[in-house]
Amino acid sequence: MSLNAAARRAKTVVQPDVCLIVEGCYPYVPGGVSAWIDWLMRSLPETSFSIVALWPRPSAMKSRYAPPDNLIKVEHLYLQQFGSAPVTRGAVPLGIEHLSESLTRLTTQGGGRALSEVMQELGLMRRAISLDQLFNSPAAWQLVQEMYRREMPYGSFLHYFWAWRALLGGLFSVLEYPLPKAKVYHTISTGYAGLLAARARLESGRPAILTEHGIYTNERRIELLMADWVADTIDKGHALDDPRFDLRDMWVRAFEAYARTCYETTDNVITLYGDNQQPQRLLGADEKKLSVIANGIDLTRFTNIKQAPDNGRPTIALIGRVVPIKDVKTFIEAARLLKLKVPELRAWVVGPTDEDAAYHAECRAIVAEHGLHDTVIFTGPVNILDYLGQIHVMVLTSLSESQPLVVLEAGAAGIPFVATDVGSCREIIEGRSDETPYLGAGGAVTHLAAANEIADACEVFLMDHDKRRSAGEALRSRVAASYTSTRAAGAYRRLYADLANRPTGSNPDAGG
Amino acid sequence: MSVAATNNGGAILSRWATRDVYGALFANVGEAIVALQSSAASIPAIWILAGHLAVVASVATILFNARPKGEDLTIAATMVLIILVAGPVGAVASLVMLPFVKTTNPGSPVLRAWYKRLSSAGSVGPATAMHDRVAAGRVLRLEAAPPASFLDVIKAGTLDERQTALGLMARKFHPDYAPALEAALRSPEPVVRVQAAAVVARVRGDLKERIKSLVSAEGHVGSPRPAARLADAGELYRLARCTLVEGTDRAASEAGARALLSGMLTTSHTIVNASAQPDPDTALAIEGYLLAEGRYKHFRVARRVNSIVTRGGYGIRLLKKSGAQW
Repeated sequence: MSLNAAARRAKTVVQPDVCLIVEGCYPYVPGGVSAWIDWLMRSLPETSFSIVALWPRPSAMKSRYAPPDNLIKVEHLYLQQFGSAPVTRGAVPLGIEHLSESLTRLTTQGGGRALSEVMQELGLMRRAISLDQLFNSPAAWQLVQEMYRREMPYGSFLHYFWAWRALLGGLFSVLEYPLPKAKVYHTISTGYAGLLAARARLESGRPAILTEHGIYTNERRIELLMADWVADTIDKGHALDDPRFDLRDMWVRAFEAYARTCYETTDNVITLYGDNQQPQRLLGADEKKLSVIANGIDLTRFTNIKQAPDNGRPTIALIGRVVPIKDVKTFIEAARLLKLKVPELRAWVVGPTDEDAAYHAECRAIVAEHGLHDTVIFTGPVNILDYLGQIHVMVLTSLSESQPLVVLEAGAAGIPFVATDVGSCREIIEGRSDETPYLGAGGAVTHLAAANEIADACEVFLMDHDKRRSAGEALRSRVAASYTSTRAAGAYRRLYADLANRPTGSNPDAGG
Repeated sequence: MSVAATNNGGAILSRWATRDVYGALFANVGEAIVALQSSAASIPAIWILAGHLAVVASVATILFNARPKGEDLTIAATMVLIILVAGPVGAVASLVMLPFVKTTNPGSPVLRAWYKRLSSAGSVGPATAMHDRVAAGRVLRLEAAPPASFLDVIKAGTLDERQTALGLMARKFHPDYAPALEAALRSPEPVVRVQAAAVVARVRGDLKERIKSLVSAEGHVGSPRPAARLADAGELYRLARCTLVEGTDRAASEAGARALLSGMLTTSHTIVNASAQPDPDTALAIEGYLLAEGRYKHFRVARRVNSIVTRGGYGIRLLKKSGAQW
């Protein structure tokens, strides 16, 4: 179907094929998941989409993506706007104890059955009082006290109260939001977006799927465990096994429970690479639902790129933004070590430098300190296609990644890669354990922040041209076999088609 | 509140109370004139009503005009309503009630303190706070087993323990945790590696800021207390050896520690005083500095003093046995 046809269809279609549920990204935050959503919609022009974008509250952010023709509607669900004015009068509705039990179960254990129960209890409650009013009523006060007694009797009630408001405010927003109609619901994370997808699955009987780029629960867990803004109301010292429950535990447990609910309720749980399935399994995702659909790139962009000549200046390159998470300082240190063995070395840092000016200045200071002016060169933002033909080895020193496209791009250009063991780097460079036939290593994987390991690995490829060429070819073959955008789009096309044709009904695994 | 009271209970009439009195007096005079007019002359009832309303409006103007924002208007509003409804009788009543209101109204600072206490935002004494925490069961459990070594936890703990330990390392970082953090970066478990990387990124930033603040404090004229300067030198020395601190920061830290000590360790007397404290990092910083400066005699003095301080009588016996003199 042509784009014009899709546009004509978009104007007439009322119920989209797919409702994407996204949290904190598209269409306002560029890159990463937003770019992937844009790619997905443009890659499937015959499929109509709507989007529910979850945000804390309305903001003045401007859309960073032109909507494709097959995007029918973008709706917003605000998580921190629930409950308007206090309700000072009104009897406490019957069944508040049951609601308290169900909510406690949903926020501590999760699961499709717990979500169903909460939806049922709230449905009964709505006959007496709207959810919006309930949240600010004496009934809510009774509810919070009941849940406090159940969950955190040691902790500070004042802190619990506000955490409860934030936690359940988000939950109630999701449960009260008018569910948009669609043939398939597709959430891009667990959390509140995952809960909305779970609710859609239970309420509409239509299939729901999840594609996790990073593991949302783990990201929140890391964030919460390190956060200074979460008050520690109980002094546990450095004990790791203190059973007393505190706010930090409450938040972490709630996100885990929401993830469990999403994993249990959705029909398919997809990730970008195999390593990400482990935390999903730990949170109870059914093995039968798990699958991997890796992101891909357009290989045709790289067909004309020639390999860097053996007698050219030995060149390594890091392609990425100059920001701390890319650990550019380790790259500079690796270049310093490598230069001791390869004096002619050139080390490019290819990417924008203005995102963290202070960090960029620190990197430049290190370059100056070690007298590496002629070796380490910051190119700023450039067209990487102009540079790939001169690079012998690509390097990635990131502390955290999901599925970095730069590894695929290097592979498409036949350049071997040395990367830290983050995200799917190992899977792309060394291949999955079930790869048949095995294509060989496309480079080397090192520990994080290990400049000496990176330098050693680069030295091998710079000194041994045959090894470099064979690694580059192995990576090129692997990318062509498993990481093309055509392949990824095809997988989603088939999945959507299969799910959209399923009859409406309950998911036997969901517990609803 | 129309009558302000001081915090110690000595109520005084403020200018707002004076305004209330003027308002009440004006109401009495005005309503008396209206009442007299209504009985003495053949004035239409509508004009009598208009006169009454004019008095009420004037009283309202006196009472409400230019009140500060947030002022309690309860008394003023009550007066206006009484006069509006009861006319001359209301005017007399508003005058009579003022002395009672004056003695019973708490002042706004008193109210503020009360609200603060109600909302738990008020500060309580340390003893009360401690009592509250003990009673609620929120204090550190002294009977609990000592915390496990973070390095052991990272190597052999459960996933949950490893993640909790990494969270603690991020929030309460100490340079001694660096080996545990480095082990976590090499963990075969991707989840642990990712979290360790996030902790490293945060800790590096925190350490950079800490070094910056310690080094800039070192340059201040009018030095802080010697004990604080020594503690700073010890911390800088410790940070200079932390593997998570980047090269340039390590050098800055080392130089900062040296600069702090060079201004203090000028004589044997100051060296004895400085060495007589138990923090091992500060002791090492002092010894390292003296060695680097080639002041070997002072170095020996520092070691012996520190040995006595840290080992007590045993240290003195050792010194006597060795026949050392200083």
